[in-house]
Amino acid sequence: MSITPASAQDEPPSLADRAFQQLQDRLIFLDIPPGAPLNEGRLSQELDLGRTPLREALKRLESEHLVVTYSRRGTFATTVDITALSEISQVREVLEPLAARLAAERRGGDARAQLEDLRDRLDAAGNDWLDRDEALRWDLQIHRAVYAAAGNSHLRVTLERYSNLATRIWCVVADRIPQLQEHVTVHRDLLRAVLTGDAEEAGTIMLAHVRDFETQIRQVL
Amino acid sequence: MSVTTPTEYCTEAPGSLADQAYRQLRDRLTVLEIRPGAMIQDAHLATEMGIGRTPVREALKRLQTDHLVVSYPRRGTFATQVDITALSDVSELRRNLEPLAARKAALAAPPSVRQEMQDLARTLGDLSGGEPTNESLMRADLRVHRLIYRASGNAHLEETLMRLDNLATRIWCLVLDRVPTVGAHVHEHVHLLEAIAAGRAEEAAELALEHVTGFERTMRSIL
Repeated sequence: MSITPASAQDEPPSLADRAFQQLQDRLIFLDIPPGAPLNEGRLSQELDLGRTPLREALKRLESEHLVVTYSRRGTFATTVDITALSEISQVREVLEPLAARLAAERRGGDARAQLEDLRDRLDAAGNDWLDRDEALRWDLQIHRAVYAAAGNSHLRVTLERYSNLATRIWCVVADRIPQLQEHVTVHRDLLRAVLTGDAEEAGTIMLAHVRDFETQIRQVL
Repeated sequence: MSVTTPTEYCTEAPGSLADQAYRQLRDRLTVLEIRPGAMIQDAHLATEMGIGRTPVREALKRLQTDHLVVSYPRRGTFATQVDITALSDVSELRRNLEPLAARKAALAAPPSVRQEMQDLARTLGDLSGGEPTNESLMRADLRVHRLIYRASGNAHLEETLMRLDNLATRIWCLVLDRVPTVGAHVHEHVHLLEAIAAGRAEEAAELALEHVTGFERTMRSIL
């Protein structure tokens, strides 16, 4: 039995799930700035969502370290803790290559179609420059597909949490980082390795990718 | 501090009432003192723990994240069923993260923590010498893991490993009566703690890995 809510797999996402995804996205990409208050009433209207599913979504976001709720003050987007970067990277350096290797061993498993689609779209995109948000969204999408392909729901949930936090950190410093061009090539190679079942190569590429990510951020801190 | 003190499964700082309630409930759920599927009533718990309902509710919120309780609107809150099928996935993660935590703890733990580990190793030695109950061995096991995770100096690693360890422990508790080698398993920790305390990082990592794979092997043989 997977720990992923059933709604994420076979059934259509619930209202709370959709609210969660939307808010998560806005928090990661800093559309809701770190430290900003989240007004339940306003969100409820904006997302066209009842208070109960909204609170469910906020609870999940809190467990993802994206919001924090104080009993009398309300809910706020967490501040971005750049010093957590090194801790998060240490965990990712172990788990991301593991996910890549497992995904390759399964040749994409249940997520194979999704990975092929991403590869096709990457090929079609060529080497055009991507703006910051686009590049980061690609990155997140590809990582998430790899996590899904690894076939371990606990691994996936853990890695999603950390890649979200890492992306958010990236967004905070992104203005100071030049184009993310190099990531496009890395992603192509990674997808190819996973789809052809080359586990060792997939693991190697992923490890280099995660380390490179951290190095780039450190250079502009 | 003795490993058999009922409420001391680890040495986290006290924190707020909600924090304390969270830790107490987390541990009771982990060792199945609150049985899987049991209904949880916040008013009842509040009275039992001598605190208000608000901190209890906050604690229950966190426990939902840990997959230790589940809330159904209109029906109530229940201790989750133990997911035995998660053993494989959880073990895969632990095989990769426990050695990392052990290695980091060996390299980076401050002297006071190394001393704590040596003391704990000694206590464990004494424990195995007597005739420990399964319950006391379980508490000792939790205590050791949590000390190591804390000593790793990485709060995210600690949090992730604690969640995984709690899930694994619940599986273990479910079949505890069928496990012949609980004492030996817990005794393995003595070597692990000593290696970490002495700063032998590679040995610590190897022992940590052996411990996880040994646990999984034992579970598979009886599940």
